[in-house]
Amino acid sequence: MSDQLGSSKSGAVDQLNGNNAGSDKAKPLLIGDENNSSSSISIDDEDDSDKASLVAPTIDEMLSKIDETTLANLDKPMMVRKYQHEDCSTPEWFEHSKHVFIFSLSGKPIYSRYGDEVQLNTFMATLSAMSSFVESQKDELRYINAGAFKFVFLHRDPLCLVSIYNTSEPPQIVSAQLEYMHALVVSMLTQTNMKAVFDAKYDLRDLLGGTDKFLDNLMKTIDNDTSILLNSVNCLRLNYNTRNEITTIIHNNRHESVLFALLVAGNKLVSFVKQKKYSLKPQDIHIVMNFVSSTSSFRESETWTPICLPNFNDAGFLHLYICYIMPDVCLLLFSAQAEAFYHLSSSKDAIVKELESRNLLEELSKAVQNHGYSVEATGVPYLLHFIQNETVMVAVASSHELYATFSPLESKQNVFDSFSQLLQWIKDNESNIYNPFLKILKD
Amino acid sequence: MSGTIEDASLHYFYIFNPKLGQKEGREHEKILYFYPQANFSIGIQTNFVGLTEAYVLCTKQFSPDKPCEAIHTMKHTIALRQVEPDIWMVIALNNTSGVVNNKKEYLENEIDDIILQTTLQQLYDIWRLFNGPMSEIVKRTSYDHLKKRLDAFIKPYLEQIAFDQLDLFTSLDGIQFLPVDKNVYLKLLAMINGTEIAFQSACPSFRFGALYYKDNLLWSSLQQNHIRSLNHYLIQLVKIGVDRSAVNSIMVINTGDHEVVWSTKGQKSKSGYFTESMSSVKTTLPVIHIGEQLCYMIIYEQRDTVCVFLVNEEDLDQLKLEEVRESISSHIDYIYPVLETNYSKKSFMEEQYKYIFFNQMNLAIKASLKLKGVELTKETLKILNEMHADFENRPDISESTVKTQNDRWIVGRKTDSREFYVIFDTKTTSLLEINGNQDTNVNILKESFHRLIALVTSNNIQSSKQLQQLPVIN
Repeated sequence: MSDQLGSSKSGAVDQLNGNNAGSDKAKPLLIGDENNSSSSISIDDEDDSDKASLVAPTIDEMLSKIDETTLANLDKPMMVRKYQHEDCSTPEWFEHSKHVFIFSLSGKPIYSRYGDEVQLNTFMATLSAMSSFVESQKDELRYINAGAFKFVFLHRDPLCLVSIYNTSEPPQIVSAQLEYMHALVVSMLTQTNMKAVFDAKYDLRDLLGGTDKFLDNLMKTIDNDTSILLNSVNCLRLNYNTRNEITTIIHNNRHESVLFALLVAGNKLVSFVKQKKYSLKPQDIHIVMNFVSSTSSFRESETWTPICLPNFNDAGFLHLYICYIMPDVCLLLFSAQAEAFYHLSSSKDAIVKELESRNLLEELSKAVQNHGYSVEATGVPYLLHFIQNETVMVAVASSHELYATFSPLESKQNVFDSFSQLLQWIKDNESNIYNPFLKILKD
Repeated sequence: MSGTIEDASLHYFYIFNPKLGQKEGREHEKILYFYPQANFSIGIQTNFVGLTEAYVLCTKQFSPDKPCEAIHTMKHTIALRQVEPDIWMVIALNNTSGVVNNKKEYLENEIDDIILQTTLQQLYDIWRLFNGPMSEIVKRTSYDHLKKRLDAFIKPYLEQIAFDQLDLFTSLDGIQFLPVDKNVYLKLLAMINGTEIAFQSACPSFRFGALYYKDNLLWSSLQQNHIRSLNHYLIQLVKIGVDRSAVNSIMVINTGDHEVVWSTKGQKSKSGYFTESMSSVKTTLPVIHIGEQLCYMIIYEQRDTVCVFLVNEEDLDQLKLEEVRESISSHIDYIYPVLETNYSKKSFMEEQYKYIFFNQMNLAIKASLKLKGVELTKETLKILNEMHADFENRPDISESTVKTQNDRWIVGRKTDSREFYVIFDTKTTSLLEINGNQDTNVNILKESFHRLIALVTSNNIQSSKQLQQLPVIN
């Protein structure tokens, strides 16, 4: 479905071109609340102000757009997801190592990682029945063990998320992963809207149509990214001064309405600027990074889209300005003002200009091409992998966790020595490793 | 957590047969036993069974050989076990809870799955030992009769389990052996063989089942799984080796017609046969099911030495219990001072180190950690449980070292069938020293293990050969 979004983009840009008075460079791709739906809706400048209000749009508004979406889709070929044809009747379906299901508390299927959720209707109804029976006892189902398989349930009114897996991860970890999936759904709709949709007995899938790719992509990231496991954010390795300069430039040039500004490279954070009174949880950062990286069309033009940050405020949308300032490096600006697009776009221009003038873009592109942290770089013998976690908003020197793996044949003495060396290396390189938050700028 | 903390406790227990009550509206017939009846209406009981069946059916699709074993909810931890074809046991415990800021909160991950599985298996094994398989009873009589017997047998058993104190010792379910030297061991064998020969002419099936000194096993003729159940019965329920007048000792007695009930009025004095009525010992002797075999079990105690005799049903009349007593009495009087010395020596040595050693092969457990002692905090017990669970579930894990918040080191190791846990309370030690220390400990323990090996039951030469490698823990 991502490709559809991509392919419809050029049309959208053409439409918008005529009206773009603010900046001839700016080609905003406006995505409505159904940004997740299978085609993007472009909206003219005139619409801009009244449509993208701070308050979330009503259900009727959303539903009226669904029709447009459906119609707009008729001439496009259906995108087929991998494993789409599988369900409970195909033996391969049971072989997947980690299933994820989302359904409503009444058992209505919303998402399945593998297979078509409609075909899995009965299966999800069974899961739903088990969960709701326990609920009727004023209790909550957490997880079931069955041989190598675990069934983890996460109950988030009005949704229920279930994972069935045999990867030997503890249920608490998988439950946290389901929390991420839930946060992603909320980021598309807001919790308030979701409840309203359910109260009005609409099918949530109409509003979530096409979000499968975001959910699929997040699951893939979750399985491979330790930063989600540790509830932290991966940072791009960058020279201390370079990062400081970048952060200062973003801080000085951002428009006054910007709540948060993030510079990301793939799933790695380069720089982060925020207003003093607000903070952003790692979960929200991951949701945003996942959203951006799942949509290839964002690479082509500036984008202005509403997004809900579940941990910041799950009741309403913020407006997000997305622009790739160079391949693989993306600037994200959050604002509560729907009409701030052109202000933010000019902020971006100013930021890019200053970065260019100080040669920082070049350094940044070098850093992006680097392979993060290599084991060789630490010069620690016998070491296979290491990851470092720091709770994101905490100052640098305080509590951090260090995980390292060694070959099983290594003697304890060697492991012990290497571990100490690694700790020392991290201390020596502290400033380059994780300081996007060192400088939390004051307003 | 503050205020009143409610420890883990039994929520409900039931046994059901999914093949029964297939007709709509008759689902309650699936339930063979439910406890506590009073707290749950028959409708709710039936719903529980239905839900359990749903869990099993649903999980079977993914894991056909091992369907649902444990269910964790916010308030409860539930375990399922299929103990016979079409007979399932289900136990649900209330999670530990307490009030935090006027809100009730639950400790959801306190109760260990393996411990609950073991608890169910132990319950079934004790049932099986005294009653035989449930399906046999149904074949011989009826489901109604089975229900009656379950009702009489299971309730007293459930009520004596301390559900807030289930720990690693519960899940290991090991047997404590008493090490003795060769001469003493031969003396014991001479006593056993002599007694058996003396009475077998009149009563061919008369034999020793097991010999205990206090709560330590000296000798047994039974197969491992049978001695495990018997050991559980003698140590956990009858409570041999301790002052039975001070604790809740219960024992199984025969009500006639091969039906058994629990009695609290068993032998309380420290000498004589275990029976409810001294005048007619034979009438209350329980029949036990050892594999397919049925025989009477006679327990005799003198000077902390406990003999378990077995005799086939048809031979009981020929056995003169008074003569057995006279014959064995002098032997015990002669040998018990040595046993007592060994027993106290063992206890003394155990006090110097905090360790648990368990061998899956012969079920031997040695532990200096007195169960429920002060040194075993909830936290330590939980770590020990988790280590054991890791060793059970993940064959690739062979060693695990944990430092707790109060500077206690806990080291667990597993080699083949042997598990070894040591606790160090030395605050300043580093990881490397701990590992060095553990090696020395192993060496010290070697001594006593050597003696233990000599004790391994004579009927199992094969396994005792394997046990020669026992001290090689690394």
